[in-house]
Amino acid sequence: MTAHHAATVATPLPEAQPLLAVRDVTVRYGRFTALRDVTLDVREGAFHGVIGPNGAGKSTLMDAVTGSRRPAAGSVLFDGREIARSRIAARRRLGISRSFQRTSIFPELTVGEQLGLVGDHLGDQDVDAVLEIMSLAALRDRVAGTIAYGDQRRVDIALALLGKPRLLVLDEPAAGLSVEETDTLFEHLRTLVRERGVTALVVEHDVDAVFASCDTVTVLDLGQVLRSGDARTVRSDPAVIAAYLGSAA
Amino acid sequence: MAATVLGLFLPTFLADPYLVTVLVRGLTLGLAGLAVGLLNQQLGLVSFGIGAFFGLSCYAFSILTTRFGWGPTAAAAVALLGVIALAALLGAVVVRVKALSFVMVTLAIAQAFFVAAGLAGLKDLTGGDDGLLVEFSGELAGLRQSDLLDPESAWPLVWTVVVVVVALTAVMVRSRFGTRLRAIKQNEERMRYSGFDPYRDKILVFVVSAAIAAVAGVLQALTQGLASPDILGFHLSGNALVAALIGGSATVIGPMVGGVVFAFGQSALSDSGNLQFFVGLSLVVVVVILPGGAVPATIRWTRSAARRVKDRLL
Repeated sequence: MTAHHAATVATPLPEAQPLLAVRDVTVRYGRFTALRDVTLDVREGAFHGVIGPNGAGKSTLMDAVTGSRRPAAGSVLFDGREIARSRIAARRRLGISRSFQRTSIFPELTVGEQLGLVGDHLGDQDVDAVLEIMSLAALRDRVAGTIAYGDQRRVDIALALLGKPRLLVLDEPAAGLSVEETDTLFEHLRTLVRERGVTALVVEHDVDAVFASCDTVTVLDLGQVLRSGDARTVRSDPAVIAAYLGSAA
Repeated sequence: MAATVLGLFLPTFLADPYLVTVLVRGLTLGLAGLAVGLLNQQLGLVSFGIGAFFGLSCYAFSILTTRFGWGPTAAAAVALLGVIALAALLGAVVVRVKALSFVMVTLAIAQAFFVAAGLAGLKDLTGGDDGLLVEFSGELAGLRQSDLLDPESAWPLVWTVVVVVVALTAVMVRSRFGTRLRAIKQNEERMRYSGFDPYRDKILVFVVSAAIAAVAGVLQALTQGLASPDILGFHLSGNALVAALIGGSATVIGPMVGGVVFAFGQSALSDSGNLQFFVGLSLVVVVVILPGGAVPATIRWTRSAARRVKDRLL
């Protein structure tokens, strides 16, 4: 080994900047504190899961990231840029998109109409590809409110995929789905992260689905981060088992 | 297209100037109904104050011509542009409020103008409670005021204006912008999360609606020759809403049909002294028997009948 090489190895590499950095975020609803000093990093290309019991603050965290809830304190950095005070539409144009716990689509438009509308606005001409990825091509001409609930959830995610977002925030994407539909949905999501380079931040009640698919997991409890790290380490953490997973671990 | 051209010759078929007078009144009310229906159909908002824009343009035209001696073309243009500018300012505030508050705020705006028009201090300008008889010299589209007050002479202008406004509204509703508006009505939150700015679009629709009402207001001044406080308040706003409900606001033709039906009903029943009773009764009938209004119901029946005939033949 040359001296030059040795010197190169000895210099610590700068840690890659996370795509999303939530720093000491506190969110209050009146006198109730839903999130307290929450800090979270989501690196680019990650499939990052957030779990926690009801009332842990998961959806509030999603709201703070996507813009429907402004933090009382702390900062939200996206690609190094402070966005805690940015409006929802501005965050979407920066590349943060979202699907909802309760499916949020345009029920009286056809699947093709709504994807075309949003795709045009975001300058995404690749609507056919999104229809294909989410297995919606056959439903293109169907009015969205008349298709099965599982299909509607995929329309919801397809809307979030348009405009080639960099961060896809999914709030309980498997809510109301059967075990088979949940498996299919997470398979779709894995494909998205792997093949389209999307970074996914997923809040989900289905702990098994999260640990099977996500490479990084954050556990929230009572509005605070209990643990955060790679899925295997978090799953076996005694504090997590005691506070949340129980026999599911 | 054929119906549009044939419509120009309608007075010949009717052969009764009074029927043409009622028809002109009905179409004028229909335009106000279209303004209400557009807000309802595209944004899911109910306005009780369309009379504000109808009345202001009517008063602006009447004051500019009668009090200041302006020609009718310039007065009409300024009346329309003035209402559009005012609607943009008001719209920036009122489209922020939710459905029920929107009803009350629009009603309050119309009532404020209604009261202002009747103020004694403004009587020299507005004519106070008596209203203002319109007088002007000069021509509009080749027609003098005496021609415009004669329903048969004014008919080609009225019909052309109505057809152009309805056609432009139909184009807007069917355009990508119209789809965007329906999407806002269905799910405003998802629109924001899709990068849209629903607020700007809502202001735009509010302004378009006000502009349609303003066109109707100028037609009122031209063909009726009178601006009176009642067109600013709930009276006109309520009638426009009823016209939209009777005809159905899901189509652009619906409020026009509703306006004509209302005008003929008003003409036939006003002597009975129970007009408001019949208006209420007809509303109940429409809501129960023809949900969505007469025109959408007729379209549904026609399609259903056509399907049945087709099934029997094949």
